[in-house]
Amino acid sequence: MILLAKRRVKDGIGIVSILFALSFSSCIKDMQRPIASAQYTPLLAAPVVNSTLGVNNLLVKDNKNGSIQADSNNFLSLIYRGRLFSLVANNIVKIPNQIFTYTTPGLMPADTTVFNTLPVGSSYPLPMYTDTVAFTTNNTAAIDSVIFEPGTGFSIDIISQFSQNATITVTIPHAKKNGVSFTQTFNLIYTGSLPVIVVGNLNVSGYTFDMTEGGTATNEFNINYSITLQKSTNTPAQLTDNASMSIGFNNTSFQKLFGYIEQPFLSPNLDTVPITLFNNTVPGGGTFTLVNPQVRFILTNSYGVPINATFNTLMGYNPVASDYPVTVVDPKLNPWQMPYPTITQIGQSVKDSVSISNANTNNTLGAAINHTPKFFVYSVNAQANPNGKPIAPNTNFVLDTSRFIVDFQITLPLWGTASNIMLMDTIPFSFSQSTLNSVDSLLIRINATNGFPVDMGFQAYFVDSISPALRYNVLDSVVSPYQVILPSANVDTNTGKVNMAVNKISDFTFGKARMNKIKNVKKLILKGTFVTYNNAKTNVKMFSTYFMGIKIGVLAQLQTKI
Amino acid sequence: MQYKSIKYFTVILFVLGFVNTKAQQDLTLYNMPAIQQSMYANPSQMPQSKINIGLPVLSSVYFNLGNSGFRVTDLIKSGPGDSNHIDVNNMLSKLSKSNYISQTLQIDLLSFGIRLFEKNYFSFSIVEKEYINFSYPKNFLDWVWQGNGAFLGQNMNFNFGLNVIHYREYGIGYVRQISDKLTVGGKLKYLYGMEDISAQNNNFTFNTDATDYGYTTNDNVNVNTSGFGPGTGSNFQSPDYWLNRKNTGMAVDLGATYKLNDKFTFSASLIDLGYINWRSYTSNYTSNGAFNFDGVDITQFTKGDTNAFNKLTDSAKNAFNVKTQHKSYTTSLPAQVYLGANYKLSEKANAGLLLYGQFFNNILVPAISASYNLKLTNWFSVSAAYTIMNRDATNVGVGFAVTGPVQFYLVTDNVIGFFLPQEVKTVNVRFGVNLCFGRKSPKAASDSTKASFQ
Repeated sequence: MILLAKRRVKDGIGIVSILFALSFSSCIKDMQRPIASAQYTPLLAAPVVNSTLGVNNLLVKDNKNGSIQADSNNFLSLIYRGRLFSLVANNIVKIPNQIFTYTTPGLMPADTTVFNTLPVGSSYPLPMYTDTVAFTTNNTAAIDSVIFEPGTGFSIDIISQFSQNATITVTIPHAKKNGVSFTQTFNLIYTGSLPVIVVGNLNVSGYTFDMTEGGTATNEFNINYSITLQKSTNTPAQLTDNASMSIGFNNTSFQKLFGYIEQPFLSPNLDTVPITLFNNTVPGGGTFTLVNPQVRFILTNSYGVPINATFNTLMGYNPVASDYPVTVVDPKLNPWQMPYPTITQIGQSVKDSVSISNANTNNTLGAAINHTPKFFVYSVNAQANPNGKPIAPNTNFVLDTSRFIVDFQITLPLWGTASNIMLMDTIPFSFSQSTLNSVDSLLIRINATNGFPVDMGFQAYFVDSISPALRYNVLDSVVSPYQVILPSANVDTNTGKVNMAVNKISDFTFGKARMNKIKNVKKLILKGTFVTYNNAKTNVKMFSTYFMGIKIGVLAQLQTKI
Repeated sequence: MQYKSIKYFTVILFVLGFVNTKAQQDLTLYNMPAIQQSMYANPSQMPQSKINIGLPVLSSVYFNLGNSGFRVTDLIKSGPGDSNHIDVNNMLSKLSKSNYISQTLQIDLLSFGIRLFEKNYFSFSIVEKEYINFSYPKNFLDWVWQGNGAFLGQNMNFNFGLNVIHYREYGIGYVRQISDKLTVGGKLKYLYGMEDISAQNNNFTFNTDATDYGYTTNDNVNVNTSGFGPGTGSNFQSPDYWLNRKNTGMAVDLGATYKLNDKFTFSASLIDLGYINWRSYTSNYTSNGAFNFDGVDITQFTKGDTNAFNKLTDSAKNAFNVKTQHKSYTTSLPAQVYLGANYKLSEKANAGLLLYGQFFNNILVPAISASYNLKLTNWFSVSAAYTIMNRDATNVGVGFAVTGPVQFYLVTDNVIGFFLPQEVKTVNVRFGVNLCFGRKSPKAASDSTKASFQ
């Protein structure tokens, strides 16, 4: 019995254990209660910028006028190019549309007597008539000869009062092509009514018109009219019978033109070349010196015309009204007697150039550059044939392909100093409020390696606009307190060249209080301040081998509910 | 609304937040010889009926779900007041270096066995098996929760793993009572594979530079698949899918039971020692590269190049360039080891101690279980077990079998999971219906039961 009882106790323990395992069912309801939101506070780190910036990235960008040039030693110069002026043929000689008219004199009595006795079908030549025309160039040229281009319009209208058939031959004896004079014959058919009218369009392309009348004149040439009457009726000839001719040039253009183009002034308007190096530079913010700036003028001329040019205006300019004039004392430029091709060089271009620097500008060029001008302003006074008509056998000539070009090149060798040069820019900027509320703190880390001989300071101001008068109300700034983010690389003071880059890590922390300050930011004002090595007391040189490594990362403590 | 969403959240966590096992665990079933399927855990187990026939599909259905990492209640804590709150830090503290979410489904399509000459038992079974094991590193969840800024300069290993396998097992078993003390058994299994995804021992590291916060990743990933991809879906309904794939393998189960004396019995088994060679519709994906992102190069923008982002994505694409091949490969089954000891408490009851281990990803995942096994009557037996597994001690197993000509049984290693799913890491259940003929008389059965429980 005892054994049986013991067994039952043991069996009972087992059964209770099994039932115990089944007794939890109601507890699951605890899990069905609502869950309170929890805070999710991850610390997120992210790289934002990793760039290695060379000279090309920093100095010249998005400017078709500017370029940076390295010499064989990798020494850099900034080059800005402009075109002072460029003349084509029409700019110097313009040929207007023009019409020449001529009426033959009435018939002589002897001619009418003879003609009226001739039987029908007979021919009777009248004496040749000659007209001398004065070719007009709006007084811009005394033409010795000209060759017209295809497309030049040359027309003739004939009005005949002869009551007979007739032929009229038009000849320009000094307009020749391949040694043959220009000739064109027109047939006039009398049909019983007068006048008889004939209209013709003639092709003078390729004909050389000699307008000197055998070396005695300019802008003149003769037109001969030979008339033969064909007796087609018995209507008698009258003393008043005649013919009128009207010859016109229109859309006249020339392949070549020789003569004397007088002394026109070739002065373009005031023009400018932008100097983008100084874009965003705050006027008066600092000093800037370049040891040896240069301006070079480059001439390309295929006109057979002597031209003298004088610079009326040459100056640096900062809007709105800051002028930094350059005084050129180089005798070559006072005036610049520009070379031109001789008659044996027709069709060719001749080139010339002249440079100005501090040496031939009484240092006014350097002074102008050192004012960090945003533009160079210039105007040039140029005159053709300053010494009057060339003495024969010399002559002016202009071809349809002739160009007269003067280019302008500012060369800024990057050797010098800069002190407190300040660049500023303003960009729209705002935060998403939800993003800002989710950020508990933010650390911005700048890890910079500077291979340039320049101390670079940086500041970014968060601003809002609280009134029209206070459009840029500063809420906070990124770099606080202000400091040089990129200290200058070390420089060999003898050569002005960098010999070792310098690294610096800067951290800028925004806590919740600062984040709240900038939550209404509207714009970001970016300001960079640059001072060359040794507080701009040492001239430094810029080489294409310089670089700047910038790494920017952020470490954000977020806080959001889940 | 909030209440509903919380409820759904809890259910999702329950589903995702369970599992542990990598294959089936039968810690409670191991000590229930009245059920012929106990041979799946110990092949030397001699069934009590002379003839056992499993009803097709219904004779054994096994389902297991678990999460070795944390319980739902590790993440959702009670209070304050009448609400719960999320405690991610507590959840993370419960994780080990590598954690597993697993799911298993096994269905006996056909099974039967017969005892001949008293000391020999032959069996045959066809079992459909499916496992899903997903491993996730604690590192990754720490990293997501605390942010990469909390791990500056550290190589964070994100070694995820995924094993999905679906195969059919054709097994022939044999049990031989060598002597009154020793019984041995074994099962030889032919395996027919249908689908597989093997993504193990993959390496993915992420480092955030302590100075510049730049990102560096390295990956060394190998994934083999079979039965996925173009051309396989259309064959799903066809005999090709069910019968003609060339994914074959072999496996063996081995077991032995030794009765030391009238009180103590010892047993051991090795289950699923085998492999499958996958040859049909295979793909082998490898990626071995590095990617570095230190920030955007602003010079690309100053040059007017707006394709900086495209360049970045191209660079990432190249770094994670996945090469694909279509070669056969071999996978091992997750082998399991059982070591058992039983002490006879009475003619109808015994106590058992069971050590269990499973090899997964070259790691032995252990468990230990203590059980109480009772045969209340000739036709009704029950077992209760307390198990520590997956660093979790809230596992109370229960099983019972009602045995006549028709046997119905249900066994679970953690009954708590059915009532308090948020409190457990593992839940599993095996149930089924067998036909049992030639059972011994009550007295003989009692004797047999004695032997079995010993």
